[in-house]
Amino acid sequence: MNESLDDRADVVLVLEGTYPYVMGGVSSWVHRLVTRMPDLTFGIVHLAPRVDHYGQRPAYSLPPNIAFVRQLGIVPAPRPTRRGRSRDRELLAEVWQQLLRLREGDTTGLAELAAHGVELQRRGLTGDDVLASESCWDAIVRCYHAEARTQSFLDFFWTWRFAWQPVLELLVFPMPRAGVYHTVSTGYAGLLAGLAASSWQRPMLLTEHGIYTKERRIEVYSAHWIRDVDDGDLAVASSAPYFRAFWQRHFAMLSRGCYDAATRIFTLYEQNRLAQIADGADPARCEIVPNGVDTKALAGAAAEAAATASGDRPFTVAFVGRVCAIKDVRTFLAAMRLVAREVPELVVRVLGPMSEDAEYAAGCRTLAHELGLGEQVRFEGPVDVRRELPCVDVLVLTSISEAQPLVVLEAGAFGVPVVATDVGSCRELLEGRTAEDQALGRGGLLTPIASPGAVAAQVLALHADPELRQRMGAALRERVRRYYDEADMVATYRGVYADALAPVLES
Amino acid sequence: MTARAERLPVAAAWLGGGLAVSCGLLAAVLLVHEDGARFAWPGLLAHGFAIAFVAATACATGAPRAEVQLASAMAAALPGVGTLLAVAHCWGGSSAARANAHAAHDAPGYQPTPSRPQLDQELRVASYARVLRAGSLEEKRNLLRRLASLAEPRYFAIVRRFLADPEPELRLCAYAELAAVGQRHEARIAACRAQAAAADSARAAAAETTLATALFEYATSGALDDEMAKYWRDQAEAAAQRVLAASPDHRPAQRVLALAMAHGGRVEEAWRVVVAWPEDVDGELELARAEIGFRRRDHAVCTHALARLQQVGVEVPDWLRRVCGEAVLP
Repeated sequence: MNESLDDRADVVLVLEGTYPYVMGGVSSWVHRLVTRMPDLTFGIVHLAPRVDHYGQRPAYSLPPNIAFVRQLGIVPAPRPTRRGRSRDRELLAEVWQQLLRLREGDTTGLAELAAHGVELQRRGLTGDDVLASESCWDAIVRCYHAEARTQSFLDFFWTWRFAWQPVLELLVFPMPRAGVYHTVSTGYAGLLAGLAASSWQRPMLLTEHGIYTKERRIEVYSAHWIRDVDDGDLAVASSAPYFRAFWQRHFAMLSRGCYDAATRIFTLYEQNRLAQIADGADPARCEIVPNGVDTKALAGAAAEAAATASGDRPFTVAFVGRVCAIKDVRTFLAAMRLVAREVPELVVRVLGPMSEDAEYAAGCRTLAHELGLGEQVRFEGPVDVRRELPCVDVLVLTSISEAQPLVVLEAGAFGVPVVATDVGSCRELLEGRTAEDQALGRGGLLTPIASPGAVAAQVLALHADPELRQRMGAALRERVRRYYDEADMVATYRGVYADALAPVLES
Repeated sequence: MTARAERLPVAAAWLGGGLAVSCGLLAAVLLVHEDGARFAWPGLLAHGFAIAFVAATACATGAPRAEVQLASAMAAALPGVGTLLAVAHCWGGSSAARANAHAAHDAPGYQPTPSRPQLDQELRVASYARVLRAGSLEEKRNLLRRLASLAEPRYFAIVRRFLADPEPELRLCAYAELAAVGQRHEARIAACRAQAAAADSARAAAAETTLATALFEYATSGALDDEMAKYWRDQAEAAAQRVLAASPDHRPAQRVLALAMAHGGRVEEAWRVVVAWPEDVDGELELARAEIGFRRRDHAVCTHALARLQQVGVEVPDWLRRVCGEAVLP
């Protein structure tokens, strides 16, 4: 890869649609990791559809040990392509040969692919050039005839282009040099980290919070931009419609490439580790490092808040998180409508950014109005949860998908009981993982997803019994203190980085 | 090895070309031979037939007319070259068809013909019940999509069941389907509410009734849990009551009110609303009366409603036919 002397760091974090431009659980995790290791220099390569997709201003104040932030737009605006030169043809043919091998699940050629990427960069070829090559056309026609003869060729052609364009942008991106590459998802970022690690012969770490392929499978399932041929048959097919299967396979390929390139693979809890293994990760390389919060600092803030708190505020229920579809804020609002019928003085607070999916957020405001919650619900945008959580009686999390939600840990640090959907590791956070952990008691109540009635019933149960609230809050606080301390998490990663960087430091 | 169907036109073109060459040469020889002139015409005729044969085989490959004409003309003038051209056509299809072979499926209105494996697969498809019970993840996903596309409350009730499926991915797929329904209804309700707020006094009752209908349809969409279904049903009832407060005889509002009451379990109250309706109400009202009658186990009302709906030519729903003992096509 092209080396730039300015772009060197001990750790290069390869991130997709997250830190430092988007606020959220993963971003917060990265920010804390970087902040807690001031002795290491970090570089960030951030992938977005376009370079300016999230704007140029980071959502976080960057710590001084971040040496650089480089952005890569993986779906750039069309550029003029270079007319195919005969001397490039052989290289382009080899590139496509490797890519097709990768598509078939064979990741053994990743290093060779990375080397081809370097050569493409050296010759000044862009992703568009590779996409406009004769070899690409041959690959399209060959694959079409092999697997999609009954589909529309035009659909196949454009699907192919949309699927491969980002991969080719990764291939021709000059990655900065690092002691270790660390990515927090598989997918495009994971593959880029894998290519860089192969290219520079450096270790690569993967920390997956949510499982990328699973999230993409859901996205592909409900995507309106994928056209299915509806033959009007009511029978249930045993396989996904072709183009949905195409995308599933594509994302699985990206993950597979990342898993195979990763030296060590981390996730937050056991269920996710099993999912990674099911998606092709080597069990010997998979480890669990739970999320954590700064329990000491939060305990101090909680004590301070308790000292200044006034006891006569109305019953307050809060939702903390991004206002977007995956958090299912609509169910939260519907549940609050049901609670408000029984608790007229209820205060409902929605604390979190509303910019990620503006349309969804607007729909939530409309729904709140429709539900007659106009006065009771407050959309407050991003806030400092340390200041706000002490003023909350119950935290509600209605997400349809989660990994190990930080907000539950934060609520626990403040002794706030939680009503959460039974997704990700919420059950083990609220009820305990081991027998010893479970003996601490329950830290909240679980509900099925998309069930406002169930959420309302649990919130009302907590409202009716202040002692239960207190007991659950205390149990959760103790669980977080014992098992989810940020210091443990940081110490683990410090060790992981030290192992990975040892050969560099020695040399 | 090419398929027999592809080899046949090639063989025919070779034969035609060979015939054209032989007959053309024979005719030429006979024409110049002093005793052969009278035998030349059969040779020319055979030459003509052979050219037509070449044209036909070229046509069989799907070549455009211009290419067929070219092949025929070449076969007539230069038998050997024409034959080669025809063979080229036959072997690989016409140049235009060959260049666009990959786009053959993109003709307007194209409906793919199921391939043999697809047909086999369709013949082996499992029943919905089997998929629900023991289907694979992919089958269940497809079932969810299929049920949701039917857009019937009774099927959404099945979709809701998947929210508690042990497989997280299925829970999320079910959620996606239900959320889409919810968003559609809520957008419609918001639009109806805005219209009702903006309507002048002459249109207020109609606009408010439309809102009540939208609220009731959301409540009975099958996409909601019991508590939220009740909430929206109460909203529908309240909207209908607002209309009736101003216009007590507004039948469409009475209909929504009665149905909301009936769905909420207050069947007798609902019946008191509809029993006062005259005999000659329109189809929608008659249908509502039939539904409430059915909830009261009053078969006479259902039978009467069926007869009336058939009489006025309104499409009768399957459930009413079944209740009245009429045969219903599966």
